[in-house]
Amino acid sequence: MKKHHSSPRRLIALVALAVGLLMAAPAAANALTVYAASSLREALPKMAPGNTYNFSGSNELQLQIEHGAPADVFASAAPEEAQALFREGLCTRPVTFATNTVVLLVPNGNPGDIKSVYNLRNGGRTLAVGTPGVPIGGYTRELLARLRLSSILTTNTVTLEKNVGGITAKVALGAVDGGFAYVTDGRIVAERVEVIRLPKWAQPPVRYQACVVKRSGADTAGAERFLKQLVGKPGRAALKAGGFGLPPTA
Amino acid sequence: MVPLVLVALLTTATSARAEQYPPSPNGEDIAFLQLGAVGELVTLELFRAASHSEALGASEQHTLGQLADQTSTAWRGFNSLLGEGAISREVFAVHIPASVLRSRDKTLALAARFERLLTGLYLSGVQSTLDPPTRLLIGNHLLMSTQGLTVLRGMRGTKLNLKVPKQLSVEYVGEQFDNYLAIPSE
Repeated sequence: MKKHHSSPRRLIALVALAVGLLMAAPAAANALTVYAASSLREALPKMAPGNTYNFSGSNELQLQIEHGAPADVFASAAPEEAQALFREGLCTRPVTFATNTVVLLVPNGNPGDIKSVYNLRNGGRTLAVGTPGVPIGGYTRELLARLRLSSILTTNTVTLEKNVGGITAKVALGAVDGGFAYVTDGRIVAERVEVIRLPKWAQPPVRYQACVVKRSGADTAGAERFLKQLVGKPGRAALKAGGFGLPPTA
Repeated sequence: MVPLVLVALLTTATSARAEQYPPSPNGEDIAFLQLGAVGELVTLELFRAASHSEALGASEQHTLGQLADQTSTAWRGFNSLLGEGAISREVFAVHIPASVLRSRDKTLALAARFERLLTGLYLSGVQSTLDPPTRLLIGNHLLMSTQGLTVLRGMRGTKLNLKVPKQLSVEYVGEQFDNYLAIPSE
């Protein structure tokens, strides 16, 4: 049997190779770190599958980036978060790349017998609603004020969710009678939920904005390519397939 | 109609005070501004289209053009308060059925219906809004929609109507205008 001895020279070569591979790997795979709103959890990986994604509430992601999280791209479900990072010098000028519509999701079979959002005035049902800080929570409250239905958040039992993924999951599992989410979330779990449309006139303008994060070590060139892809044909096709609305082309 | 006009005139008399204290909608006051802006946009699109409709005579087209100008002012006024949530043609597309525009009677009937909806909405707004300057603003819009309704009734040759228009809920008026709206980005 042949013995293997690790000479110092051989060890150094192995370490150098490993370091080289580690350094080359991200460039070869072209993997960006994309921080994106939960509602984009299906559309973005379909458009650009090779990246690392962190999906959560836009407000939470904004906070993480402010604390130095290693994001290359930020895609928010509302302009406020991306614009705040831009004002702080932490990302480039945000661009609008998609729109969405707020709907009321109910579990299959509609156990709470909700025919319209106005039924919720009667109270006594359980609802999943975004926290006030997260975009879906803000949009929901805005929409309810326009419908003069803000009181339904006190006459029904409300569970507050940190992101729209939590709302969709609770409705899909039948843990609540209904939840306010985006129409695109309804499509993701279409086999488990029913969608109740809300009055068009009261819809808040749901606008998604994205920007390139400015930090040392960020893959700025890659992030710029991603953004170009997002507002270009591949992005628009993926977003349209996911049920998002599209802003007019520049 | 007379009592309504008096209410509206009194509202106008106090509008100087409203200018001193700009509207700052409180809570659900926003419903009347938002739906007012949507309703004025739908009505504006009908007036604009009707002012070019061959189904109407030249003087009727001119009158509808004037009503369009007045409605445009009302729509822009609401939008200035809605800020980011302003109601534009990018946000909503308005579809007035072509069959309506081919008929003089149908055009005037729909125009009067839109003004009745707005009048009913603003009457509710005057009663329900919490912020006094917002209430005065809605009162001014009530006056304008009442004038529009009077003009349209005259054009239609309908009998003098002394009944005070009904207050209409945000839910009902919203449902009616929703029938003419589409979200273009969808």
